[in-house]
Parts: sequence; structure tokens; C-alpha cells
Amino acid sequence: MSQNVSNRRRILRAWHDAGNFAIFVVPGVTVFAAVVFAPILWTMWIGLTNERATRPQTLFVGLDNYLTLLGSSTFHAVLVNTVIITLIVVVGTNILGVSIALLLRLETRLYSALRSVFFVPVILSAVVVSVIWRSLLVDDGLLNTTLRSFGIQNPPGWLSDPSIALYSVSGIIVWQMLGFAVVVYLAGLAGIPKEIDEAAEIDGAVGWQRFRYITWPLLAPSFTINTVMLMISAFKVYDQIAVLTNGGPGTGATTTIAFKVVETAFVEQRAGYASAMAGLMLIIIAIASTLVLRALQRREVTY
Amino acid sequence: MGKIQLRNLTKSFGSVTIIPSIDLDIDDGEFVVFVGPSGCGKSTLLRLIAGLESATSGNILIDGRDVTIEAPARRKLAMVFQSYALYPHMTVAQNIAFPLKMAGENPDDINRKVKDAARVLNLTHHLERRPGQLSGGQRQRVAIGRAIVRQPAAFLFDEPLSNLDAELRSTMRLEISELHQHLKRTMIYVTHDQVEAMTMADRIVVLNAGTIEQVGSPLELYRNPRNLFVAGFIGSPKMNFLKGQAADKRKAATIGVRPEHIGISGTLGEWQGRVGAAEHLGSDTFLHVHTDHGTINVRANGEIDAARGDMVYLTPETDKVHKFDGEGKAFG
Repeated sequence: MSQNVSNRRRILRAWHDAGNFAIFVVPGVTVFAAVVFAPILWTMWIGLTNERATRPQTLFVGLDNYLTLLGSSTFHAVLVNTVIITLIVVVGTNILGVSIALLLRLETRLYSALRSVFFVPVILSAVVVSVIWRSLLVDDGLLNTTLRSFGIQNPPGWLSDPSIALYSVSGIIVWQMLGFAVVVYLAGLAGIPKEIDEAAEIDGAVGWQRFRYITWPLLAPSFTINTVMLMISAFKVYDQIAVLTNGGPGTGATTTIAFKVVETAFVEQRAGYASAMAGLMLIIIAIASTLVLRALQRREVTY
Repeated sequence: MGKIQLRNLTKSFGSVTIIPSIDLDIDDGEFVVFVGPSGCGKSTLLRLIAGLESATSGNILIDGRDVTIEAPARRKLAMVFQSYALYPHMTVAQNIAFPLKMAGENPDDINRKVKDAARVLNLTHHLERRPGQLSGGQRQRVAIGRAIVRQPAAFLFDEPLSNLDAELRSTMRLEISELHQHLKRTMIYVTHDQVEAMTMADRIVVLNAGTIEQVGSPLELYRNPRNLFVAGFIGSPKMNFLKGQAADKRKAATIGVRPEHIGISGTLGEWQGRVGAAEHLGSDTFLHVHTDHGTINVRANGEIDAARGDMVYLTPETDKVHKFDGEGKAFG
């Protein structure tokens, strides 16, 4: 009798679990598979073909596209641009982010208002931000007009000089991502127990020493999040490049991998080659972020 | 090298005054315990001495030197926190060495002092571990180690044993007392646990609403409380307070009798009552007796077999009855 009851309960529980799975898990997994996983697989597949809008027949070419990419000086230049932007964004945003977070923590009355101000660029569209900055930085824009009014006859071509444009674009991305980094560092600072700060104060750690030996090591989780997020965002930057410089000036002074992927796919209409480039970008981001994540997580401690 | 003097010391947060005005002298080498209920200002007072809070007015003198506006590190004090406040990313050795490193001592001296402190605190085998790998008691020992290497003028303890379980608490209590005997340094210890206060202190400072109610040795406070607050706060179980006829008879507004100073009989006594609850602890029996004067708690020996509902007679020991006037001050 009790054996039958127990079996019935087990069956009912199994149905209940299956029902929960169907209701809560299946829709999410289906959407994820349809809009994320399937396109990635499809792109990877196209990357193994010679698909081109003007070519009547598409053939499987194996790793040919990847091998061509690895030997291409254009791709090397694009990769170098992307790495430079990524380094500037990761280093610059982290340094400014932690500095501003520390200042905001000191100025408690302005804390809430300024925190919102710094976060505004994050919620703005990258295109909107780029249009605003473009109007400021073009040769006859507000910045250069102002510089000329101060007697500087030949102000820099912020977006038109090939030796400067890449850094200008990087600076704008730093500006846009800064709010995110500040908020993450503020959360990290709020998570450091007050007593630890006080103990450090009593132990004689003040100013830079306190930051170096106590605050910065304890901000390790915030640094990890910021670094990985910034690295991924900067590595796949497209919108700002498209609006600010369109990959120029000159021959690709600011062209990044993502920009080159779009250009190859939709201007040159070489879908196979572009897909291989996108696949390579995905592989580089995945490997780099995994390595960085592992290295940085080793610094993190639990209280 | 550890005489601390507080002169007219006050502390307010905005319009809220936490410490109206305090004067206190703590002698070199003394173990002083600040005790009082939650929110009485005992931790604030300790933090004022440490320099973690700035005084609203008044002065703090350490060995005659006015340190009221000096930074915490320059006061030559060490503090042990309730939450240990260890640096989680550093090893035990690095934690203990940290104040010495900040003081710019040379690495050989630091190494020697860390090893000495570790030996005194039985931490020698844990020097390369991180705080997260230690038990609560070991963590607190590391915090104490970090304090002793600095050879401070005085140690400040802010409820250091509150996060430990009962058994570890009593062990650490003894260890801190032994450390005091060994180091012979001034120690100021904040607690709400009167067992800690009674067993460790040379002198207890009883605080209430930011003011000092009484300062004295543990037995002085137990035997001669200055007022109703101290009488009720010091001693466990708490002193019984009776008003009305029982107090009138002794020409007092209120009388106080400690549970251990009441005799119990089944036939004869001053106050008659019925046992509401009997707690047999083996060594002692706690009885809650409902009388015409209110509920009276009695601490009897462990052999007594009174049970709930029994009629009993209680008689206070005459010379142990504390008398208080209408304002709550002790007299007589």
C-alpha cells in the first residue's frame, strides 16, 4: 500500500519537474538557440565556404579563408588597430573609473547626482554619442574653432589626421564606457568593510599607500568585471568607427575588425571571407577573455 | 607609557548628542572595560580615543600629549575590531607585518617581530595562510598579533569576542587577560557582556546614554552600585527591585536584592510567594517566585527541589539589601 503511494508521488514529482522545465527553461533556451547560437554556427559554416553575392556557386573551401586572413597584411593592420583601441579603452577606462569612483566616495553630498551624470553616456546610443563628438572634433568643429580663437593656427585634425584619429576614437569610447566602470568600482568600494579601512588607517596606511596595499587589491572583483567587459566591448567596436571616421582617414587608419567584417560582407559582398573574419574575431575574444578572466580571478579573495 | 585622559569630551552627530561630556583617567597598564547597553556610546567613546571619530569638543591626552586632532596612526594605539578587520588578500604574516611595513621598519626587524608575535599567539604554523583559511579564534589572534607588534601605548578592543561561540569566547577571554599580564600595557575593552567585564577588568566604566554612571573595580560595582542603573546592569541574574511596603519598611523608595542574597524556606520568611518557574542547572537553581511585591528571582543551591506551583518563603540577607532614594541614588 505505502509502496504504491510512494511510487505515485515519485511519478507526480517527475511530471511536475518536467512541467517546470517546459515552462521555465524551454522558452529561454529556444530563443537563445534561435537568435544567438544558430547564427554563430551559421556564420562559422559560411566562413568555411567561398560564398560571394556575385559568384553563382558556393563551394566548401575548408580553412582557406582563415589561412588567407592570417597571411593578409590588411587584416594584420586591422587587428593592430583593434588591439590598440582595446588597450587604450581597458587601461584608460580603468584608471579614470577607479579615480572618479574614489573621488565620488569622498564627496558624499554630490555622490548620487554625479553618479547619474557619469552614467548618462552609457545609456546613450553609440551613434548619438558619436554624432555629438563628431560635431565637436571635425576640422571646423567647436573644439578647433575654440583653439583657433586662442591663437592656435593649425589645431590637430582630431578625426582627419591618420596619426591621431585612432586615439581620438579610443578617447571617445573611453568617455562612453567610463560611467559603467565608475558604477562597478563604486559598488566594489561599497563592498569593502568599513573596519578594514579603519584598521588600515590605524596601521598607518594613508593616501597612496592605503590605495596600493588595501583598496586596490580589494577592488580585484570590480577590476575583473570592468576589464573583461571593456575588453569585449572595445574589441567588437563598430558604431563609433562608422559614424566618426568611416574607417579612415586614409587607408583604414581606424578600421577595426568589426568594421572590416561589415565592409567585407556588405560593401565587397564577400560573405564567406567576412564570416571567417567574424569567426576569427569570436575565437580571439573568447580566448583572450578566458585567459584574462582566469588570471584576474586568481587575485580575488573572499572575506 | 599608556596613560589616557579624557577631558570634557563630547560627541554629536548633527543635532544628536551621543556623548554629552565625559571626564576619565585611565592609568598606565590598566585594563579598563567600557560596559553598557546597546547605544550607550561605549563604542563611540573607544573610536574617539582611537581617532576614528573626531571629537565635537574636549580633549584626549595620551601620556600627557593632546592627541585630539591627531590622525589615528600617530596616536600610537592599536585596535582590535569585532569583525577582526584582517586584510583578506594578505597572509597571516603579512597582516601582522603590515603596521610595521607602514612605519618603514627594516625587513629583518619586521620578520623577527612577526615571528615573536606568532609564537606568543600560537600562530607559528599558520603564518602563510590567508584569513579565510582560519577559524574565528585564530583570526582574532591574528588581529591581536597585528596590534601587539606595534608595541602601542594602549590596546583598544571593540567587542572582540562577540563573533565567537561561547566556548571559544571563554578561552579567548583568558588569553587576552594573560596577554595583559604579559605585556603590562593599557587596555581599553568595550563589551556588552558583563561576564567579560567582571572577569577581565581592573576597572569597569559603566556607561548609559553617553554618560558615566560609575567607575570602579568589578567587586566595587557589584557590592556598592551607585544607582539603580548600575545595580540593575551589573550582576547576573539581575538584581531584584522592590517598591511599596517592602521598601517603606526600610525607609527607601526602592530596595534592591541580588538573587543570590535571598534565603528560601518552605515554612517561614519575609515574603511569601508561589514558584512560577524553576530552572535546575545542577550547580544552581534559579527560581522565579511570584509574590505580592512582584516577581522575585532567587538563586538557590543546586540541591533544592522546589517545583512550579510550590509555596515558598523568601528572606533577604539584611546587610545585602541596597537602598535607593526617589531619584534612584543609593544610600545607607
